[in-house]
Amino acid sequence: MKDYYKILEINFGVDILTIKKAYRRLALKYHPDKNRNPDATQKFIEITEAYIVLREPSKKQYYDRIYQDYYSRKNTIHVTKPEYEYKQKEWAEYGKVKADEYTSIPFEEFARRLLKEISIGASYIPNVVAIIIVCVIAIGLLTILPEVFDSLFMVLFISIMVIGLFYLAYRLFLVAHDDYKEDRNRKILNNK
Amino acid sequence: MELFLVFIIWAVIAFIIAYFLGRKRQIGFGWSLFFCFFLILPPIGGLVATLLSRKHYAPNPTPSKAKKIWGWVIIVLAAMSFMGNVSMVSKGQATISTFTVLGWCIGFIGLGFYLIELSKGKNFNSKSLTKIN
Repeated sequence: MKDYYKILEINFGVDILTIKKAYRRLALKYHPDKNRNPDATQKFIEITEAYIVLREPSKKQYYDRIYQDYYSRKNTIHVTKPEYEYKQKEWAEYGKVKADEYTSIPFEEFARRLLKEISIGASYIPNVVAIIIVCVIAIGLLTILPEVFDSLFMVLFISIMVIGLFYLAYRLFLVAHDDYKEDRNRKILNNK
Repeated sequence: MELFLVFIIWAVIAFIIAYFLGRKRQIGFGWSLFFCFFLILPPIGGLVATLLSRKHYAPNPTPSKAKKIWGWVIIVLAAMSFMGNVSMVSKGQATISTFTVLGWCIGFIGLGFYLIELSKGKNFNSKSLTKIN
């Protein structure tokens, strides 16, 4: 039985982000354009096969079940099942196809695509800027509060404005946070 | 001349915000540009309104009755303020701040209509395949 976790140099049960990072690191190392070692192509096919199985939740779930039986309990019941052998063959073929597809892409382009997946933080700079602007306005209003202390109406008005502005900053943070999670999920699952 | 220059800079900033941020969010280019022009402290109000909207591929907003009520409240208050300022203009008592407030009133009336549409769970971005949940 192939140990996909060992191939990707990660521990069993790690999350999808770790799998993604491990693949990114090894794929950049063993891409045949970059690595002239004769074993590099075979290694690249292996890591691609491991990655396509571990990145898909349904495949990973199936593989993990058999993995646990085989490695933890030393029970080989599932491994000899024709169903698994068929799956293993199917994954190997698909891994080979995907690896061929990736090797046909020049290394620079392949690296650019892989690294693009992690560059999702930059799109949140406007949110950070807006949060800073809103907080600065709120703090500015707070500083003029002592000057209008004799007018109850102004104190109430400014207090409401300040609370509203801080709430706005919080909402801006929430929107950015939710969008970040959405972006990350989409990029991890390649649902673009 | 100076006023014209300020207007040009304001319009360019509003367009940049609407094009680079609004176009990629559920608010869409049109609403984002409108808020950048008219909402309070332009274009900061517009920037905040744009960034409060989620990205166009995110799930559409959930239909909400509260947004509809807030929308109508804002429209009524802004319309009243608008009428008051228009009467000041008609009496010849208008100052620059009167016209500024008139602009804000238009912005808030727009905000009211935007909230009413948003309460239906609408995604205003044309990139999105589904407009309504």
